Amino acid sequence: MSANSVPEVLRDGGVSAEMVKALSSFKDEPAWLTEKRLEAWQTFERLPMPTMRDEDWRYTDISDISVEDFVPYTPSPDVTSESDLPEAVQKLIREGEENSALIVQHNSETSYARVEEELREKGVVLTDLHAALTEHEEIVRKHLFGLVPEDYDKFAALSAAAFSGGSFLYVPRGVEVEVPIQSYRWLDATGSIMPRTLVVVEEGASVTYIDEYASPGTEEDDLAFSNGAVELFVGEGARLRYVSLQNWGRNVLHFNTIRSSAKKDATINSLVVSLGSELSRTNVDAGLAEPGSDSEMLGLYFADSNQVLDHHTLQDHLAPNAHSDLLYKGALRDESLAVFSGLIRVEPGAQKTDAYQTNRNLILGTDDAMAVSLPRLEIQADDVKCSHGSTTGQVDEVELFYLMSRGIPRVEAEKLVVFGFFGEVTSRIPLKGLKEKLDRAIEGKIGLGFEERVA
Amino acid sequence: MLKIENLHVEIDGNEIVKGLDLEVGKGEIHAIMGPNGSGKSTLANVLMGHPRYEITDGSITFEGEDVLELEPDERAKMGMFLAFQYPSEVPGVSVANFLRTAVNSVREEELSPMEMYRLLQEKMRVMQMDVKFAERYLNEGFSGGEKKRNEILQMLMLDPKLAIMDETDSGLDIDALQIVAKGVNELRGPEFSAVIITHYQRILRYIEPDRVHVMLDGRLVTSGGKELADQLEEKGYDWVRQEFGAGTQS
Repeated sequence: MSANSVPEVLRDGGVSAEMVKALSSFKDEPAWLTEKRLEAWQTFERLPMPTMRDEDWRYTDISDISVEDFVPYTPSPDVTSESDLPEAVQKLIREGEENSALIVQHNSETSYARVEEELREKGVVLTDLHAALTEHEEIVRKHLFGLVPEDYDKFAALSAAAFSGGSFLYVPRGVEVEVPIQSYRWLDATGSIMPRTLVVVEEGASVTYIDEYASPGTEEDDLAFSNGAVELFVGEGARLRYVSLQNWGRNVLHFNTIRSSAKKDATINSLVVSLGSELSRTNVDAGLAEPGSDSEMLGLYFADSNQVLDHHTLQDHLAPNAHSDLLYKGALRDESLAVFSGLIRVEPGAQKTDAYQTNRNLILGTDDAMAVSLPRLEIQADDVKCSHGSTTGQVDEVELFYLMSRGIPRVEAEKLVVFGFFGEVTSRIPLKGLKEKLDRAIEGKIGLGFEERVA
Repeated sequence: MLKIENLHVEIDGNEIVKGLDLEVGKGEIHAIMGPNGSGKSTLANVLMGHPRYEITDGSITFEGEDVLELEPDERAKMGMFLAFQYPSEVPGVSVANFLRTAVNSVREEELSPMEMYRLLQEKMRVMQMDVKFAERYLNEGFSGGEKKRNEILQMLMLDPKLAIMDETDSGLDIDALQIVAKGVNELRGPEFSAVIITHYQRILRYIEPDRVHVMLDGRLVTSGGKELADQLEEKGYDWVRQEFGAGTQS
């Protein structure tokens, strides 16, 4: 899509009703979606910006951010082969998980997608969300905004009003996709990116899907804004492994809501990784909608300098005999802040619920990093097994002494302890390429000037 | 090889070691025996550089070098080793990964994975340990005996010049004790010295010491040959207190 054809209102100024209309028309969208977008824009305007007086935003200060002022749309070139993608994106792909299908969103547009022939023949669809509106309108219309509706919160309203790019994955009944499917979001403009992910896994199917967010920006660059919404529908007896890897440059403000719904005997394994950005707020809601559903929720975050990494999770037990197990682990250093707020909610009638929640934080060095951990239970059924726990501690000096007494220098010893700490999460991820990527990222974070400080 | 002079050690303002002198020569095995609370473990930890103790006076030199200026890892690289009485648990770090990092650090060169594996297999055989043990997380969920064996395995892997063994025998049954002793005797030779810290004389039946010292109230109060250990076994620590206790000392 050439930049010339993009209406002016999308490229300058912020989000407005006029911009929303122009975007929808520019994308040639069906009328129902234009209406939906405009409704969402009204919702956005109606909802107040969260402040630290709101329970859900008590520790994360976004008062000086005006999200609607970011340039809402930046085009990107369509490319026909992987070798035409930006070199940095090709590197991400090379260093990522082996994949059977791939989609790349560059700024506000999907610039590249490929699906292996074998998968296409089985009816697996991976495509740009706008393209899906034409090619698979029925399925998209049925599911889009189903889990992250416009009235979820102010950011969801903005997403519904102004999203562009985005990906749609459909796995038909009974199809087992063995090799993971990978999506990359690449942002090399200031302004905003508002991707949506819509995944529909039909009865008895299985797939692994990875959303990775990356950009080259640094603290010195102008702020950029990412506002995502992820909807994961998993049918009866189906299995989805979903990974969100947020590794934005340090000029990005990241807001994302990931919500899933698991039908009878369905299994969802999610992993939410937060490493980059200046400020990141991720809501992860797992809906255990029908009996026998199972949700494993893993989280890994590592905050440094003045980063703020905020995770709000919900294990929503709506039906009996469902199981959920959450483990979020984070390391912090420098003046960073990490917030974890997790709720297990057991609705009336959701008997025999089995739900666990653990959050652990490790503070490196003796700096001013702060970890806030708020585990909560809300149980309205009497025959349930629920537990939660949270710990925050520093690297134990005696443990370090033990490791150092074997000839291991302090920095290496610290690395061992941190890797060991995260090992409880990473050992549960059966994705080799991803694990290696995480290890490198963690190693980089530990190495960041830590050596000089402890010396 | 190891020379300690007039060592004074405090923790939280309490003096634990109160002027201790000890010299261990190359190839010698010394035993330090003493009742609970005599400062034996403090001495062991201080030799390796435990961060919680404060040295208020005196010196420790190893092969002529002042070790008090050195970090624990630097002491290890010089050839010092401490078998811990209470080894730390390190979740998520496998024994194999830990040993690989430690061996490569101490040798200051990388062994190939194959060489490392062979070395590990060989040493595990000496300690009668199953190779699967190496995949477990370091000390996590280990029984007391497994922890002690693991300490000696580390010692064999690192091949130190001086091993300090802090009550390695305590809590071990006779079979485990024999295996531990076998590990130590494996290293015994003209280049290997050891300081065996113990409450009981039992381990000294399997690792014969060249010298035996008795520690009481932060000092070594008497020294002798291995017959001193037998004497202690027979007469008990009350005898030591009567003979050498604070009341009789000036």
